[in-house]
Amino acid sequence: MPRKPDEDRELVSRAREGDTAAFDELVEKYTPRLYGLVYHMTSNHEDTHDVLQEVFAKAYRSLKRFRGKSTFYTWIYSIATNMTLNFLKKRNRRKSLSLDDVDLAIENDKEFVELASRSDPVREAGISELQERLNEAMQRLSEDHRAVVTMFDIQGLPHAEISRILGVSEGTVRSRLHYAHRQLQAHLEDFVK
Amino acid sequence: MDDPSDIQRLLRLKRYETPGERYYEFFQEQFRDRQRAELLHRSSLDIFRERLALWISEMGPLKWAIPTVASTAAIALFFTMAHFAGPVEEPLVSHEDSSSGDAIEFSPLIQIDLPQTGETMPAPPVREEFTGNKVLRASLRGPLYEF
Repeated sequence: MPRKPDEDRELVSRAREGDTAAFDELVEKYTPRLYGLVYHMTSNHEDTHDVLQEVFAKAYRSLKRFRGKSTFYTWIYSIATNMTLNFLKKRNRRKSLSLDDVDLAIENDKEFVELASRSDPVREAGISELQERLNEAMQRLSEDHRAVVTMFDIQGLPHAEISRILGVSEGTVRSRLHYAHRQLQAHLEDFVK
Repeated sequence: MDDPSDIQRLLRLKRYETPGERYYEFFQEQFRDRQRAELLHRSSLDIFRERLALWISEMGPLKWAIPTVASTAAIALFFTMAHFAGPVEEPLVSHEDSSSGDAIEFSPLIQIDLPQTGETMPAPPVREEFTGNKVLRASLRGPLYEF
């Protein structure tokens, strides 16, 4: 979720004056969040690393053009989204997955426990297979549909924020989400039965 | 499992995918190194621009004279180059006379018939708008005296 704007405003102001330590603080603050965005859209750790380096480099070069009309978080999130979409459109679609580890805390997650109790395939597949099937299903979506699923379902952004970031109407966001969920349901239907 | 919300529950499990805390430290270190390298390898033009801007800012009130000095120097340079450039020869232009069909060649030189010594040139006719109270006297007529 976005940080307090006052805190970012001071850091951004200092960074614009050339204070690299201030920009380092912004990088530290937003790397986990932006890593998640790029990773869930690419399902590849190495690609995520490269793209995210470029995102922060571009953000630093473009700081003087940041007018403050939105929060710094929304602004850099938009940069990350656009650069990832451009990267994906150029990337070979058949690139193999390179997945991060799954935190073992998932075994104590209420939703996971409930799903496993209701679904034999979920329970029998194991976390590793579940992770692989989820990522394969995500990669079968178009980049635009994958973006809204990542932002809404995985990162929990509201529809209004997503529409601002992508530059589309909220209706378009909802429509893409609905279509993406239907596609994912079809891809995972055999798995979850 | 046809409920779409189950799909959303599955998707939320992806939040547990993580590169680990040590990765983020490594990422930030890499970015800092990259940033320093980019700053050190800035183009010489960027450094020149920065030093020029710093020099101008340290001039104080004198900095406002820079545009005037620069434009004066540019105009002086233009006239100097024009003076040494020499005359430009215009090519002969050929036009067809519509009545005779013959081509007529125009010389680039303009021929002016000057009166011989002692002769006078007839005065041009006075235009009506120059009559009345606003008339310019014949002795004052001419571009230099109209201002």
